[in-house]
Amino acid sequence: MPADRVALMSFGEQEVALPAESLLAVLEHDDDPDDDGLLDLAHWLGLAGAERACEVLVRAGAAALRLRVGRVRVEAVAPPVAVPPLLADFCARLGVSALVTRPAGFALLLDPERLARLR
Amino acid sequence: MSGARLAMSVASLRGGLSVAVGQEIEDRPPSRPLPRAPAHLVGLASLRGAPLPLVDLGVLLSIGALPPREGRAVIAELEGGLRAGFLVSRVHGVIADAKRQRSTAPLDAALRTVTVGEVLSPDGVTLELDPHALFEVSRAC
Repeated sequence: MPADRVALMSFGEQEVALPAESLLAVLEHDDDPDDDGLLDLAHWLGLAGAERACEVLVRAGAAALRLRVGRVRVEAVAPPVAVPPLLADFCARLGVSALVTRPAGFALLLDPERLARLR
Repeated sequence: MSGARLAMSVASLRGGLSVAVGQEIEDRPPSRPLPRAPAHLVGLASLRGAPLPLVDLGVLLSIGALPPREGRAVIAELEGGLRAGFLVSRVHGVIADAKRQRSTAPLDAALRTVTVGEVLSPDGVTLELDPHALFEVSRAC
């Protein structure tokens, strides 16, 4: 089975993924509360914040998006699976485009372009 | 309307779902909670490798939540791949070919929305649940 590469982040027991090809850079996080250009992913998803935060710069269509996340690791995973129809509206509202199979369930795969539009 | 129904209970409520829709019963599978999900949507499980949303029927019907890790999952599927695991306290079995009649019990709003009548069986009265309405109110948004 061909594998895809995703950037995985953990927030408590919830895993979140971004397409690895969208990841442009991992930056140091300076915890500036007035940084309007930064989207805190844990806050966006209503999850517990990551203990050690960093920022990632991701490609979102023609633009770039800066996200505050926890530790990021890039892994090869099985091709993402479609969101169940019952969750389609819910996932669209969060910017989730598909699910990534993980040993303990599924990680939410975010679409950076959709995320940039929604924020 | 007649036809076989799967009889299940959530707390003191006894409900029935057409066996054409509720096709499979599993022990409650482990699941991961979904962020920002409504209370009835308790998590996402994996059923033979495919994602399965779990819906606590007690919460959905305003009866009360099942204790964590308890209950059974009635896997229901409609056309278009609309599928969910409805968590219930117990599954009693199949009520064969009983006729449905108008519900005589006073029902609150949440129950009225998803109930299409009642079925009389030797075990008592079973409210017949409308699968389309169940999925509609379960749809997380």
